Amino acid sequence: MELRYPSFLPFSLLRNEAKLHTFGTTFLDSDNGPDSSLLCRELKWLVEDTIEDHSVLSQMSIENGKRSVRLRAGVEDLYNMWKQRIEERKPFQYIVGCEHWRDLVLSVQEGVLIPRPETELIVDLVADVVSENEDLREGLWADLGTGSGALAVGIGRILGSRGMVIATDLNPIALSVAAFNLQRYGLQDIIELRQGSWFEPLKDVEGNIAGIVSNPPYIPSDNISGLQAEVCRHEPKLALDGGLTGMDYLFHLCNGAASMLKPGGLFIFETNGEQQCKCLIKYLESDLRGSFCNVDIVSDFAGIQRFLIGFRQQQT
Amino acid sequence: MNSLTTSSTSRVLATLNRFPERFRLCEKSWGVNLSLRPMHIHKARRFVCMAEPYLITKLESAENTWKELSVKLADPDVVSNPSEYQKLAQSMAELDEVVSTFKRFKDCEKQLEETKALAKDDGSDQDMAEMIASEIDSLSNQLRKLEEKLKVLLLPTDPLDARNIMLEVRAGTGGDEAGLWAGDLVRMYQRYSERNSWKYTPLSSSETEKKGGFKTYVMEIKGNRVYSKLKYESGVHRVQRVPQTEAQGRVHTSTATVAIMPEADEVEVVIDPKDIELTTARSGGAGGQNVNKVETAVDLVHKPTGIRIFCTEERTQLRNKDRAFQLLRAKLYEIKVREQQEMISSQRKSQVGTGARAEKIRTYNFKDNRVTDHRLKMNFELTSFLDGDIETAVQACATTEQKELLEGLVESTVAPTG
Repeated sequence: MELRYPSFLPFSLLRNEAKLHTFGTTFLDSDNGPDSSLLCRELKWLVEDTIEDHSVLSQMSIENGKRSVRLRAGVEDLYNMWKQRIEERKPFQYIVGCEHWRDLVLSVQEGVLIPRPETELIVDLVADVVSENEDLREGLWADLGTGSGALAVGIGRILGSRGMVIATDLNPIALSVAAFNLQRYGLQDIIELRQGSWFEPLKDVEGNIAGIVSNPPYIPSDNISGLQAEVCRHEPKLALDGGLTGMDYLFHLCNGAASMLKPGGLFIFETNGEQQCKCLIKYLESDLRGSFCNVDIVSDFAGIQRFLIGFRQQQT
Repeated sequence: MNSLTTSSTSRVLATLNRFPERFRLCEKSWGVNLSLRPMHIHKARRFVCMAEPYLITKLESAENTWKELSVKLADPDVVSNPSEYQKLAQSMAELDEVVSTFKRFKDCEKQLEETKALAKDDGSDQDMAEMIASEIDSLSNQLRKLEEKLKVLLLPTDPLDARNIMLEVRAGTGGDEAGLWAGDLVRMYQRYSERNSWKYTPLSSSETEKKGGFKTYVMEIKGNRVYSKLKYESGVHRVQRVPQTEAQGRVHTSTATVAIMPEADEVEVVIDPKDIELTTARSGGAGGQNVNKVETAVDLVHKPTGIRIFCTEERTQLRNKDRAFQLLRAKLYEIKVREQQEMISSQRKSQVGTGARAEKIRTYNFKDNRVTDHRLKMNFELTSFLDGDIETAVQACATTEQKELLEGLVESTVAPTG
């Protein structure tokens, strides 16, 4: 669809930018939502994503004349999308239909958790370990609760030529989105999708798994309603609610890892922070004593103790 | 003609033994003439020839390398190895101009010799003699020009010339006005980039209160030989104008500093992870699943140097991190490069040596619509300059640097050798 860019979009953008500045910190104050500078950034990205040919963006400063630019959606649609963003607090990523994550662009939609920046670090941790461990690099990996398939795609791209990933999720919507994403990156031969609950669909490979990664729901049930509207009103509770302490599934994953991982296999789980990590370590040392070694906590870039990492004890 | 050439050559070679060692090096070009000339021209030739041996040796070596490369490129083993082939082909292409100009030089020399021999041999025909004399004149001219061109072609090239760069503009003191001036410079370089079909990508910036102004702004510029042209922009750019904020119409002077950093790869600049502190502004308190904000900015601190980089422009944490490291490498490399160049330019007493950060290189005067480049001592029209039309200034800097290099070359070759 061809529309005249200069006369429509900048004008409407300016109107919205002016409105945004009057928002100021309204969302931030009410539920720790985005402030006006973050909303302006989203608006800029919305326009960028709408314009088909990005090279015109750098030329706009010198061309003041009228110019036709191809857009992916009509201006009316853009207005409505932005209205939804502001009035309903619908997440930006659901509006544009994608999330930029690491060096990927992943399709996302309602019903699927939007991959978080923190989770990007899990792929780096896996890369560090497999760079020195050929056995794990060529092994079978599992991404449990894969959602959009972010972790599966991320680690699928760094494993060796014989490496494989099985990605599981309970939710069929998530699996269809994950299928789209792994195909987009040409990983159909490396990633297999299985529907089911956590380790259920992996019974046939018990004891043979080289690595398990997961970003399981870890928010305590009572906290969810207090989160910013983008999260609690629109993202799937199935992907967020971790029970009373938020740790229901983390414990489940630790238990499962003890029997599913092969000796020397790696696990990395994302958690809600220091308290949960420390609690899990205690659990591993008591109830699962002897199952794991080299267990460690890794902080994210905000300094929060975010990830629990460890290895299945080698059989003696 | 052939017989004339061959006979004169054999006649001359027999007499060469009488001449000192240094002329024998020139025997293929100048040495041929010496025995046919009266004494005073001998002296002139002797002076020129002292600069020549060095050049002739270099030119012949370039020619030999070129021939070797063309043989290698025909080798089936090389042809089947694309990266090796490309490397050799590129080396050969870099020598093409030197080799072809040298060939033209030698051909021109030969023609000059033959024409001079004609002048000697041909009798008293007046018209013929005039024609020959003017032919000798024009060939001598041509030869001189080719010689100059060869000297330039043999100048050491800056190995960084082909690189992409990071360009950083920092506002000096002066609050909003300095910030606006920094913004004007950013736009000037963006427009110059567009004129050169280079691609620029903003990397990080911190804005001032006034819209359009920046405290700092960093962008990457990628394209053909970006560094070779923008390297002369490093330094302090001073502006004299009535600021937007000024109610009483007084002229203020503000400054902004431009730094041009050639891209450096991970081999050239090794960064120890222990020297790095990397944090993100994820102001969600709890972060992770609790938060959905488009906030992936990265704050990178290099402890040994205190360099701090705040990278905000990319859409993912990984990309902002990679950008921050890319900029850090460029900054660390620039420090290294600048130290080397300051040493060289102070030895050379250079005017356009890409030198000191604090050096005031240009003043932009709005009232007079004039840009003064203090190194070149030249003026340019301000409006078109700020619109990105800076090519004339860039070329003038390049020419000045070339002249300095040539002078340095002559000095070093004419100097007595022990």
